[in-house]
Amino acid sequence: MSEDNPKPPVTIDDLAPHGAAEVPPNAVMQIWFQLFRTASIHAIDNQALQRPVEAMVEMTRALVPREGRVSLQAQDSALFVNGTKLRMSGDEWKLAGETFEFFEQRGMGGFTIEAPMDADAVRALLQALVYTPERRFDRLEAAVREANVPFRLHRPPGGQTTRPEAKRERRSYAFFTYAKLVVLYRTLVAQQSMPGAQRLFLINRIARTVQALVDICRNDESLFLALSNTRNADDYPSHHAANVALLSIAIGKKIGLSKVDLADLGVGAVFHDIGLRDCPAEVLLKPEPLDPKDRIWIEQHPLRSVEYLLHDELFSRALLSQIIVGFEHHRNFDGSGYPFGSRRPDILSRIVTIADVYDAMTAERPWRNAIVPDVALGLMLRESGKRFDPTLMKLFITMLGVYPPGTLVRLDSGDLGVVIYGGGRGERITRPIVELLGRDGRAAGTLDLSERAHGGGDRWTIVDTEDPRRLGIQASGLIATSAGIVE
Amino acid sequence: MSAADSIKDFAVQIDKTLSARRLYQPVNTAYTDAHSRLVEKCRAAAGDAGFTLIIGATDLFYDKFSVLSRPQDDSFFFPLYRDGLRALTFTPNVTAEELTALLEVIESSRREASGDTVNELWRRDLSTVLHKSVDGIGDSEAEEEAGNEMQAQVRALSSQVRDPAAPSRPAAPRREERTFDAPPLRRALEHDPRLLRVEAEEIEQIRAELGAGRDEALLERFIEILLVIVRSPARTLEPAVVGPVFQRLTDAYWRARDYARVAAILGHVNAAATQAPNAEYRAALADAVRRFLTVERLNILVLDFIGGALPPATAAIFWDLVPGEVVFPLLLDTWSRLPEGETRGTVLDALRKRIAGNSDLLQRALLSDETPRIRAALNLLDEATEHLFAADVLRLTTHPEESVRVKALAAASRNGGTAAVEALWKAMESDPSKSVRLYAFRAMSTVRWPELPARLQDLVSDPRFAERPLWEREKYVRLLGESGGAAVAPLFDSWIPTNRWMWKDKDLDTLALALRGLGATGEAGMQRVRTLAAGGGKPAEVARTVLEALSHAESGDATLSRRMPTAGNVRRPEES
Repeated sequence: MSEDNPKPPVTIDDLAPHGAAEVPPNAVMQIWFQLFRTASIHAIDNQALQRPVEAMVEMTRALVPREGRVSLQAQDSALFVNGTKLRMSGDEWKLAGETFEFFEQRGMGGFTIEAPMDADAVRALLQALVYTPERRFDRLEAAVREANVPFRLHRPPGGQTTRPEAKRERRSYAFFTYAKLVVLYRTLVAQQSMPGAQRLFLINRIARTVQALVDICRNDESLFLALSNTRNADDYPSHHAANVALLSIAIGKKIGLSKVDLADLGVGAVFHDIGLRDCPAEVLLKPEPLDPKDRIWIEQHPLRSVEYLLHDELFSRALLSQIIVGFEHHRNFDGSGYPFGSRRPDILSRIVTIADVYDAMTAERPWRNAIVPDVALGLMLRESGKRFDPTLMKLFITMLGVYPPGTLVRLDSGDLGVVIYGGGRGERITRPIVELLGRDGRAAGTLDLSERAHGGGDRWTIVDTEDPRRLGIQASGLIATSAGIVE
Repeated sequence: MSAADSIKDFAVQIDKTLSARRLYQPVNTAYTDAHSRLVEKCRAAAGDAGFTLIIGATDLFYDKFSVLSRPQDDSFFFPLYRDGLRALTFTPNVTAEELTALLEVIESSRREASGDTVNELWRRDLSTVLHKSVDGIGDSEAEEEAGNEMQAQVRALSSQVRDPAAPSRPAAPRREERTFDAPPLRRALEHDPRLLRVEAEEIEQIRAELGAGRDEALLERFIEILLVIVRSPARTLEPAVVGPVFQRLTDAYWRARDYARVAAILGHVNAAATQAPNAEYRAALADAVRRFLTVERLNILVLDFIGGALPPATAAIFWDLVPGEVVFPLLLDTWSRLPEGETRGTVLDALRKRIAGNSDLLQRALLSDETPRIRAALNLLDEATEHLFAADVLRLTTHPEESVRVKALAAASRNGGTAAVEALWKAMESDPSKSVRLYAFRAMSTVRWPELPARLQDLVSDPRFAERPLWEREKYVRLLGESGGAAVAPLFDSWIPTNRWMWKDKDLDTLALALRGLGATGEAGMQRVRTLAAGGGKPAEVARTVLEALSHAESGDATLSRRMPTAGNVRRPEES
């Protein structure tokens, strides 16, 4: 099974008690996910729990006698079953994300099942591990031991880093990696001509940095999206290249691209505007509308991007992706746009187009102010089907949320907050996580707007959005402060 | 064996396995044994906990001890070190597939100086062979290397983006304060809550676009982009860039023997070479095709075509890309070597197509120095081209090679004309090969030449005629009889010896000759022979022998007309 041609995930029905002679490794993760997810929603005696419990029982009975044990471990943004790394489809990655979260909340790195379990043992395990407010690893470990089930918890590999420390380390690493990409790109485009070896070095390092960002994205989407809110009007091209790469990778992950394809997409997105390096600054930064002579520079930059990229010695799928994106990213979904040609752009180009336009719209430019994110999305949605791929547009909006990261919102409590993560499933899309603003304009704590009040209604409600520029607020800084803290 | 020794053993085995891969094919025992030993030694070294090799410029280290030392230019690991790879960790459950993947990455690092091993390892997504690398910049702000300017820039920027300063100036309105009248997204969603719903068909469409055939789709699009660029009136890419790009593409697929892709790319390029509005692009593209399709490559294509590795339709695409004067001789030589069948038919179609476009190609083949090529060209002649190249065909009737002379004589006799019959006469009289002379006799018998009887009569009446070999005299007299008819019967009559009491051999030979000639003159002459055969004595015996010989000759003549097929008179199966 490859990530490019995913099979439908195995369901509980497929693992009915009478059919589980062979349990594929991915099914172990899926069965575990179904079990703890159902348990987190329903009470222990709820009928809905019966099938997940049965599936768990069958899985242990099928695998433990054959393999000696069943272990599920999380390490380096990957899941391993009995030491074998799982290769997952886009859908399965969503399940994996929740599995990572489950482990992180409890300070776990994974578990091992040492003997076949029956239904009672599974329920006892759930009592000890899920139906408890306890989140400290040592206490959970003790509770599981007391339940007398053949189930052993493991700490994460590499020491006993606490969850907040781990998150801070990840955030620091993520921002460093982002900065690395910006500096590498800036260095590459700064010189008109450069020795071949140096150019190759920078291009290879950019590819590596994009790979690191792909790993970050697959591990923590909220942190990843927070990075894309970084702005610097004094170095717009470099930050824009990095932000478009980040947003493109995030969209690509949504449609289930493999990690290699995500990396190719990311590098293509980094280089999408490389052809503008030859464009005079007075054209790029012109505050007035462009005249026809200026427009030629702009409309030819995709061709210049192709020319720049064609100097690469190695022909590869990655290079083809970069060239196609460089050429097509200003071509519209309906076949219009520039440069010439009438064919619908490739899907990678369509992804980069969305990312490119969104980042450009939400940035300060010499000829206009930054457009607030939710208005930008509204404008883009109007062009869905004409300029933008409608399916990708929907996925993009779902990913960012109705109130994308960076949106300044006013709550019914009168407080102002900046959205730090608003995408995902269900009501999260309209009830994001926000960083509250104190009177000094600095961060004053996070709020999860999906939290319910004691009476069951909404605890907080967004009543309006504001333009941070008018209030002199630096939204990206607030996001950066809280990035990665999102549960 | 200690852990260090096991690891050392494994490290040496990597070297040995790389050598085996260079020297042997994958099916070879030495190749598979080397791989098996590599896996065994790796697992033995890994034990229950795995192990990590640290990569240095000239040494591989385990736990600070060197387990393998090599000079840089003779080391499989120096390219890895150069790319920044610093450690390789092998887990206890290391798999053969992942070790092979590691070897492939090492091999690619030697082949492609512009590649990056670390990138390639990441792309392989290995889970039992893990790697750590450095990139000269570091992974966190905590890392600091004096004098590393790029690292300093990254650290500064990282700190800045993580904790940006508050805005130092109030946000001033721009020159043009635009207002956007689009409702925020939330209002659109309130109006239509299903606005963001993604249907299953939409996801399927995306999956289909990313599914099987993705590589081909990317390549097609890339070629299309290049062709769109070169077909545009504006010159946006340097022609010197475009041609080599196509050549590199086709070289890569050629090495992989992916003929279908090579043919497709060259087909597009060739079309653009004639249709691009910009003359420089046209020249660059035509040059790219010409440089790619060398005679050497064409020969390889022909061999693969004959061997079945190149489908006829794809082969035809290649042939159409090459000028006729280059490909025609190759095809002709190929056609002459192939047995009857579909493959030969395909080549024949290609040859005919080219002759139809330029008959000079056939003439050049007739004038070639290579005998097989001349023979093949003669076989390709049809009625029209036989006439067109009559002079060349006549010249070939004196070719040193016998088979060429025969074919040329056949073509010449079909053409007719004085020069042709003179050529036949000469071959009949003096060709060094008996079989050619025999053919010439047969061919002459089909020719209508008014001078023939007189010439033959002079020849047979010459006193030196009797000195010729018997078979030759028999041929001549028969020919004279057939061509002269009843008018020459008296001559043969005059040869018949008067009745003898004792017939000598010489007399009997003369009688036989005379009767052969008489029998060939027509029915009256034949009747004379029959009458004599009905009698008794030696003359009757001779007459009966002659009668029998004459009846065999008739059937032999019928065979002759079937035995000389040419391209002009052979029907193709679908025409039957």
